Amino acid sequence: MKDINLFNLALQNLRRKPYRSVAIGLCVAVMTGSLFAATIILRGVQTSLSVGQARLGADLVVVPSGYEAPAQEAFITGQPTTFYISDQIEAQIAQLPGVAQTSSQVFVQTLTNASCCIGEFFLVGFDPDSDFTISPWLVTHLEGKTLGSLDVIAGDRILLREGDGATFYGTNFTVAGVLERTGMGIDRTIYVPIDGLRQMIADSAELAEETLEIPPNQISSVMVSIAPGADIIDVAEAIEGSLTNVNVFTASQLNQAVARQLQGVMGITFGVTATLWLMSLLLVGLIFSLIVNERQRELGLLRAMGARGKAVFQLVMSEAGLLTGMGGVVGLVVSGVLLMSFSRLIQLKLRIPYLLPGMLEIIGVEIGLLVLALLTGALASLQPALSISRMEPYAAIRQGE
Amino acid sequence: MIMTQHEMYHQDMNYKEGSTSSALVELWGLSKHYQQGPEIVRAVDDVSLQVQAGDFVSITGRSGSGKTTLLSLIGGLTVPTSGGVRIFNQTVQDLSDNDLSALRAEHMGFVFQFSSLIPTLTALDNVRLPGIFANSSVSQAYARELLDWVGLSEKLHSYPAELSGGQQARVSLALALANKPDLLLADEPTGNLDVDTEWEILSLLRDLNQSQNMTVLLVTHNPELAKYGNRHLVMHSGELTESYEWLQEQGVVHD
Repeated sequence: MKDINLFNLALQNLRRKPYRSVAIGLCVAVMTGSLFAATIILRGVQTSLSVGQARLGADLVVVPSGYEAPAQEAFITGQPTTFYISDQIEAQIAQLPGVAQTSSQVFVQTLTNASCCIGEFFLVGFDPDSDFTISPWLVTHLEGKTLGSLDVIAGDRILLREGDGATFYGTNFTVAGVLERTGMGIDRTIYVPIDGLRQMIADSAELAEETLEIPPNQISSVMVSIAPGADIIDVAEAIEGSLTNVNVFTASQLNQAVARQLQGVMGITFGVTATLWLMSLLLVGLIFSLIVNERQRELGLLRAMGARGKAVFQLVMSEAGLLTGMGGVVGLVVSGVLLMSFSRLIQLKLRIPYLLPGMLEIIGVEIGLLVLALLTGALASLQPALSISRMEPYAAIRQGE
Repeated sequence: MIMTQHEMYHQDMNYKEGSTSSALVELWGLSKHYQQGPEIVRAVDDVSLQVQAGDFVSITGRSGSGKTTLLSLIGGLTVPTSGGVRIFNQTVQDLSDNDLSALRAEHMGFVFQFSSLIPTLTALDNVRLPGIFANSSVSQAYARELLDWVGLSEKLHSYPAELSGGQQARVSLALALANKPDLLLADEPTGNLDVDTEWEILSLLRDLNQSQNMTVLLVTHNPELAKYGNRHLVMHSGELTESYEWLQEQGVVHD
């Protein structure tokens, strides 16, 4: 050994019983990794909930009765869905008290083999004249450029960039802009102006492999913005009261839907994680009591060599710190790699639109959990370390014989 | 018949605290009693002693007579029930844990009957180990020198499990000398060794005492080994006395 010091001595001591060291390290790794995954997912949920409402751009969404759940899922994850209702409801909603703005959208049966794009995406027709969810973004990002009928806006996760061409149902469109990442279904959605959509429907009979059949004067949803001072629940009840065959959900209900989906999973995850932490604490504590007991004579001999009680304390604590620290690093790395590799799958399975936070936040969480792992080791080995450091060297040597 | 020199020893054995002395080790009324079931065991009982710098003192006695406890009291490894220990002009009982540890690290070396080696460190690293606790580290070169001196220059990188009992004892001796101690406390250092190795280790201790004027306190159950010292004490039921045979040999007493 080039340098001989307490740290290296602690490291060497861990090599004595490699299986035991690996078992403790693994236990801490599982605990830290699980906690990391749970924390990241929880942060993803919180972020999704906070940005979701802002990104939706509407206070209320009106959909045909019975389609509330698929509509929410489409908004949350971008999972395509189609349902239609007469466009007359938009005018009826617009006349109700408390309603400031309305804009309809048409959901289109999506082709999974479109030439432009890989995977499944959601095609939505919108009315640029009345729209208040996509258009405000256009004002700031397209510098006032007018959107032509064959110009489309793509979500961030669609592999299209500004100026790209895209053909849907035989009609050629141009990407006028790409939306910023939202973590919502918008990211997997392509917005087509309503005139372009009508042309696409008309052309599909001749140009597309499959004719697009959307009945005229039919829409899928109406986005509603309420007037200042109006009560959102009152307006929602007024819409459902005056129109038959519609359901209304609010942006907050959308968030609640996400929260509901996750509540059970998160509860179990944190329950398991808390149990793992407690078990780790007990296991590391128990094993370090055994380790100290086994090495009582040796630690007494170190005192005879001139080691202060503090040095013996530091040695035991260093061993615990090294073990739990290394276990923690392994857990964080493995958990991080798994989360990144399967982030999309996790999002789909848990139905969360947003998972991984920024790199700085990930590093912050990792540092925090590494500190927790080290604290676990410190807490678990505190009693045995204190006990041996305060023991009379002679007693330690004799009892350890 | 007790002669003048014996009187000197007698005075030494009845040393009291406060006496002016240049002794390296001074014990006065030193006792270590402990409860064992209903009985009080007097492991060390009212021992007074002065050891001068450069002495090689052998302490013999039967198993359980209190030899090891006495050595531990001198080294500050345990606290006496009564009496006191003064080494290097410092009263051990007055020292804090840190000061006492520093004293051990800088001035004392211990050799035990059993291996005092760390199993995961090589012989070389074991010898360097005490440097962690002293003010100055033990250089590789000096550790090599010590291992060469005990005849293990070929085993520098061997782990304790790869060494014989005799070789481990030699490494333990090298380890005890790593911080260049002034006082070596050896507790049955040859207890588990064959006769040849036993004499080799004892020769090394004598060499240290004679060539470097290192003070050695050797505890052994073997009276034959006591011949190596310039002074022979006997421990019996916690009490320490001069060896009568040794006094005879020295001409201190006559039949």
